[in-house]
Parts: sequence; C-alpha cells; structure tokens
Amino acid sequence: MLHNSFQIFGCVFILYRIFHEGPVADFTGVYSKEDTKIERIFKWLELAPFLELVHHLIGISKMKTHIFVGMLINIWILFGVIDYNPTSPYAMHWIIIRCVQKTIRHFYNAYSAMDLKFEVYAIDYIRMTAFYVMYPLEYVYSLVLVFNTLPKVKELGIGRYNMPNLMNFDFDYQLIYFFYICASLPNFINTFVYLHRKRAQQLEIAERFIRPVKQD
Amino acid sequence: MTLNDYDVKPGDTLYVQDRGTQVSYRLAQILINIGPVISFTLFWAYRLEIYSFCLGENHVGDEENLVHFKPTLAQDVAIKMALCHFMKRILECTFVHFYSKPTKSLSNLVLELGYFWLFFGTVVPFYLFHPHYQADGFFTQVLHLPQGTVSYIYHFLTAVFGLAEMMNLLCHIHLKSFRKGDHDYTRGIPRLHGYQAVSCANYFWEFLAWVTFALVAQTLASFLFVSACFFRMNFRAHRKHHRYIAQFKNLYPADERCYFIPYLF
Repeated sequence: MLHNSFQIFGCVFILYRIFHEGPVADFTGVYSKEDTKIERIFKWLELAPFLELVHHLIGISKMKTHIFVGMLINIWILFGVIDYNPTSPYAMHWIIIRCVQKTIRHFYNAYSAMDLKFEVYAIDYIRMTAFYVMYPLEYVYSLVLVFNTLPKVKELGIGRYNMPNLMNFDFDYQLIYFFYICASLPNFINTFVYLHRKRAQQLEIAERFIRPVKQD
Repeated sequence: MTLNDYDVKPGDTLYVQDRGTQVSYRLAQILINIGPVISFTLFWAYRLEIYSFCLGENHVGDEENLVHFKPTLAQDVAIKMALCHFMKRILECTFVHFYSKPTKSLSNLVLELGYFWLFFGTVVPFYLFHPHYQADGFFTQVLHLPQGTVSYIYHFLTAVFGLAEMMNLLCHIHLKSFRKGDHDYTRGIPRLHGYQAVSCANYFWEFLAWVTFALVAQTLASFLFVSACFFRMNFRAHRKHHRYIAQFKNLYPADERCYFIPYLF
C-alpha cells in the first residue's frame, strides 16, 4: 500500500507540475537539468519497482519476465536516452504517458490490496482496457526518443571503445540503440498479446463477480 | 510407428500434444553446425567488403591489410580450430550419432541457430578477422611472456585442442556403441575415454577444446562464447549425471565420478 501510494502521489504531483507550468513556460524547461526536483522524483518512481525485483530474488514473490524486461527498458530510456537528450519535447510526452500509466496501475494495485478486486467493475475495466491506448503510445514515443537521440550519441561519441586493444573488442553505445530498435518490436507484440489475453481473462472473472452464474 | 506399437487398444484415452512445426533432428543438427563453417568462409573471402562497409572511414590506412589478408599466427590457428571443430561436428551428425529423438521443434531450432550462427558465426569471426586485431596481447602484456615463446604456446594449445577433439570423437563413438540405431533410447554406463572420472566426458573434452580456442583467439567475444558454453554444458551435465543415477541406481559409480569437470564438480 505504501509503495502504491508513493507511486500514485508522485506521478500525480509530476502531472500537476507539468500541466501547471505548461501553458506559460516551455514544456522542455520542466525537465531541464537545472530543475532537478521533478527529475529526482521521477527517477525515484522508476527505480522504486526494483523493490519488486528484490522480492522476487529473495523468494517473497514471483516476477514475470515481461515485467522485468519492461522495467529494464524504462530505466534505460530514462538514464540511457533522456539523460543525453533532456530538452527533447518527446521526453516530456513520454514522461506524461508513463505518469498516467503508473497512476492507473498503482491505483488499481492499491484497490486490489484493499481486497476490493472485482468489486467495482468500472475500475477493473479501465485498468484492463487503458493499455490499448497507453502502451502503444509509450512504445511509439520511446522509439521516437531513441531515433531523436541517436545523432547526439554519435556526435558525443558516448561509450565508444575502439580497437586495437588487449581484448580485441570494440563497442559503441549506438549499438545498444540499434539493438533496442530491432528487439523492441517483437517484445512489444509479445507483451501486447499477453496483456490482451490477460484482459479477457480478468474481465471474464470480473463479469462473473457482478453477474454470478445461476445454480439450477 | 503405429498405435499398436504402443499397445493402444480400442477404448483407451489418447492425449495429443501439439508441439509445433517439427524438423528432422539430424537435419537440424547439420544446419546448426554448418552455419559457422559458412560464415568463417564468407568472412575470409569477403573481408574487404565486410570491413569497408562496417568500419567506413575508420579503416583508412588499412587498405593493404584488407586487400591482402596476412593473418597472424593466432588468427590462422584460431580460424583453423573453429573450422575443424564444426566440420568434425557435421561428420559426427552424419555418421556417428544415433539420435533418440526423431524431430526437433522449429522454435528450438531457431534459438540454436541464433546461438551458433549469430553469436559464434558472426560476432566471433568479426573480431577475429578484424583489420585492427592485436595478436599475442594476452601472453605478452598480461602474462609478460617473451615474444619468442608465444609461438610455442600456440603450438602447445593446438596440440591440446587436437587431443580434446580426438577424445570428444572417441567419447561419441563409445556412446554410439550402446545403441543399435536412430530412435533407440538405450543408455549404458560409459567407462572409457574419460568417463572413469566424469559422467559427461564428451562435454568436458569439448569445453577444453573451446578454452584452447579462446586462449588462441584472445578476443572478448570468444571468451564470452566459452562462458556461455560452460553454463550450457554444466547444466546439461548436471542433469545427465542425475539421470544416470536415477536409471542405473546402485550400478552407477556416482561416488567415483563428478558430472562435468573431473575432480572438481
């Protein structure tokens, strides 16, 4: 409950700050390097789910692979993409989408934690259906961000390690970007199909809850 | 095979599992092993085109090296080791192994192809044939050995590689002797060519061959490949060791044998 509450309040606060300052100030200024408050809160919010990973590693709970992969991707977008291109307007759009998604998800988790799961069909419906819009939007914006940041990474020469060297190995950080561009699409399709099937399963249970099967 | 071979009678319940598209097991193994042979040959033949495309302006000054490839001793030995290993595997797949399973699923085949064709077949030769490849660095800069001794080390490692490959082949021939043909599930207790000390001597000899390859090639990619091999074979050897114990019980000398590396684990 504490974790979910922290996530909800944090994301709502960020959305409030963004929309409060949006009409009068440059959107990109809200996530500028000088203003570290929003940046700090958002980074804590994205890192906090790693507690779930600790729970999984010490055997308290199980974690599905796609959740772990999604977590890694979001952390990388934040620290490995946006950090090199913080003034991109797409960064702000991605953050807004992430905040809305996290608000919905953690509100639903808090609602489930209070043993209210399936009691209010509308909440289950919104939680299970919102991904049809939010997840593709998030994916598209993450791809756009990556394409937008690629020239800057190339220009700055970040993470470049050239041959000849002792280990006969060369590396360029751009390769991670190319790998993400190629590998993210099958991951997106796989996760989307999984969420779609999960939605059908959960809503069927929710419908049975509100319309119990008549016993003959 | 028919239902009568499995003693299925009218009235029995038959459970069917769809395992997806299947490929002949022998064909799958040949396809898996032929990839690195093809890729190493392509890298040798089209080195100029590959690195001109990949390196672009970064290979300025290396035209001579690219056009007339003069491999160092390390490159020459490593390339020949890789080709020998996979050609030996192809010959084993064709003439030696008796496979108990008739088919392999297409999804498993794709994963294996990714491992051998992409990881070993592309990443390893990319750095091995690289125009900026630096030979002997591990021996001269890390171990501080004199340059003159390095060629003897390569000859020694080649000899160890040859021995490991020969022993691996003998292990496979020994395992073949327990079966009459394909689709035979019979297992015996192997006792020759290293099996006295370890349950999966064939894995041990193959791992030793890969270690010598990595020491000769001296690329990060080859060391990563050897690490991956270690984890895969360690997992399989552990499973096989316990399968032998479960099948043969007190007859299997489990106390005398480790499962992967002799006298260690």
